[in-house]
Amino acid sequence: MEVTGQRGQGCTSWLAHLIARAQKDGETTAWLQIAPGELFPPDLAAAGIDVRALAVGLLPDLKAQLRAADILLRSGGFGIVVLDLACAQPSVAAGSETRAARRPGDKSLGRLQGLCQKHGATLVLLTQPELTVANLRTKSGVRRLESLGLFEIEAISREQAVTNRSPVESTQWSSMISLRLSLKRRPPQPQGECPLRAKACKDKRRGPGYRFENSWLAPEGVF
Amino acid sequence: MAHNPVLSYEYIDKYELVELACVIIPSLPLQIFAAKDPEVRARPAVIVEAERPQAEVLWTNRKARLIGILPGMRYGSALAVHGELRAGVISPAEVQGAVDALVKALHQESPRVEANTQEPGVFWLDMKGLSGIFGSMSRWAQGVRSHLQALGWESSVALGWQRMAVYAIARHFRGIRIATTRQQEQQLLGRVQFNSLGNAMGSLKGIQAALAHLGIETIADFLALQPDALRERHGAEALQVWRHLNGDIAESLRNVEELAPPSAFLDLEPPDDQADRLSFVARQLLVQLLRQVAIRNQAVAELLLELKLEHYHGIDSVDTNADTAQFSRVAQVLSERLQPAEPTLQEALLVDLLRLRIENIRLTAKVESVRLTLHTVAAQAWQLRLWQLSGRRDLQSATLALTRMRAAFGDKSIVYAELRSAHLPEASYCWQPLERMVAAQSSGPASPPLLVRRVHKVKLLQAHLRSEPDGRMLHDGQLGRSLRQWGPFRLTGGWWFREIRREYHMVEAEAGDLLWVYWDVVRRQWYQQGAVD
Repeated sequence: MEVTGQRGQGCTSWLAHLIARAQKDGETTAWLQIAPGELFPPDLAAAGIDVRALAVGLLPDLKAQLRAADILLRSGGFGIVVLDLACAQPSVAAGSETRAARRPGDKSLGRLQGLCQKHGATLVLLTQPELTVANLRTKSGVRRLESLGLFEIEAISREQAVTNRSPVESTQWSSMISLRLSLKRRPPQPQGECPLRAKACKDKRRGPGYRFENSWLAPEGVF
Repeated sequence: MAHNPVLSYEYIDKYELVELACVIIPSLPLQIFAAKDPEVRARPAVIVEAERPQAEVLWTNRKARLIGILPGMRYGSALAVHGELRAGVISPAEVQGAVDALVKALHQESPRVEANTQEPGVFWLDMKGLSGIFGSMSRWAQGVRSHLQALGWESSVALGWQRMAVYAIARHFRGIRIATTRQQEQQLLGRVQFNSLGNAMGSLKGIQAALAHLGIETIADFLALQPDALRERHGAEALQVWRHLNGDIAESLRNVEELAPPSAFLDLEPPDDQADRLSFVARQLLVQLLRQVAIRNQAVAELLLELKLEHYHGIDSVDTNADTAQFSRVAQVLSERLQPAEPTLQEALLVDLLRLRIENIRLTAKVESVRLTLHTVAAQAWQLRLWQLSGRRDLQSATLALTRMRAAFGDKSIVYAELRSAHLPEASYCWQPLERMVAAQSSGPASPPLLVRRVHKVKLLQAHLRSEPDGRMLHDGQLGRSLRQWGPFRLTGGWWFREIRREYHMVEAEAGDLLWVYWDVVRRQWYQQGAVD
């Protein structure tokens, strides 16, 4: 499953909601991010997550994230694993990469998919289209995308991505993704409510194209 | 012609025309149980979670309540109170089936019907334009009750204007209640006992218990509370209920449409008799139809595949029963029915069933067109879930995985957040090594859901320049100007060591981002702490 949206469009909030619901259902959950990470636990607790039961991985790079996801899913002890790629950094220093280091994701993601099916687990990829577009501008960025072997990149300029502020269809993940949601948040209303719209760009089980929208409450201070 | 008071101008001047009706089937699971076992009406009866002594009692009828059997008790304890207690288990599928049947029945009373998803048995009906058709509204309401009674359902009906007001009135007052003016609706609403509300606005158990301690019994008492204070003391959920009952939230009716079974067909040009190509066409139709089915939150219980033959020369089908074959001969259409083992939304499974059936049909003529019709039922909640419920995860295995993580990436690679009582955001939590995986004690997501913030490495924002247009240019102008801001929220501390004085603001940037920034009073600089995501 992939959740994608521009930074600030509510992806983290949506996933926090998902994790709280999974925890209520008795699932074990983990969030893998690159150290030092960007999660703000007081808000997660307010959103309904038992933060003591949320395993948070603080990892050095993307390759380690994928390896960690493999370890957690392989154990069969985790129901939901979130791979936070929204703040991911290039995995290897320029000039030091080998072919194996450049392409860790090809095998990893196929393996992760198999592990998910075996243990009835869900791997959620949190992505950010703008990041991929921005990464096009740097050699290391292109390398990272290639190394994952997951992105199909359209020719779209960074300026377009920033000014349009729309869910960019530039990150088409491979066929392994079964559900791809694109999120967009609307400005806060006077009472502090922020409508959040999710669109299913891909859904192998139900078919794509459906949308759902809910009112979310902005953090304290906005109302 | 009989005088019709509703259509007379005097009546319209005096009374406003109601816009909404709420029909409630009280204790729907108990009524379903009573339909299956008529003795339930005459004896103490309960609906239990499962047929085991430790199962929770979910619903009780009046006779059971009178002898002290209440929801929340264990089934074993209830049996100890009354040895001849009737007990039954009603599955969500049975409840959903009853709701579907009720929606169908209520569509005969109003063209637009909404079924509440949180409290089964609550329905809203659009009354706009019906006054002229039915004349008296009380006659209409009596007709609805009689109709439902004939189907075996006890009901209560309330007519008015506000969605939650008519819900509360119908829930509290049994029978028929019609508000003739908006003021009267408010008066009736004010008299409703707050404890009599159900889950249509979300779970109210905690709020009801807390307010009962404060002596707040009626909705009039509840609405007299200050909304800000209510939110502060009882949370955002309580405020949401207050706003619903106060009529601040105007939601339009979400009509449950009476829909024909999804069906699609394709003409083949030129006609074809190759099984693989016909399978491909059928798959194409199926994918198209499954989208419609999924949007309706339904699942496929049966597929009807109809192949229209080019020239009729008789039909021979391996699995076709006699009735179908006879029908096909007359209509020159070969009909095949396929039923999955249970209602499903799985495209791959249905495609496979279609392929297997088509491969086994011996066609005596080429097929001119293919029609596919899906017969659907309400999907089970688990079919729409993002993850499968696997029962209890093995926490021992999870703990072992944590050990492997530490071995691979270091002791601080897998952590949990420990919340601390501190003023500054960065001091309000710390990461602690996670040695052992524990079972979550979550009561579920916040309602309404909350947006959360992500913290970034604290970033100095550039100083405001006189040459800039109104508003601060954020992130080197990438996010545009700041449109609105909320604050300041002052935080101070560390005066005994290194004084910290910050004024926090939430800033809405032109690009839509909600940034979390602060003004450092000591350093006289703006910093960004994070952003809402």
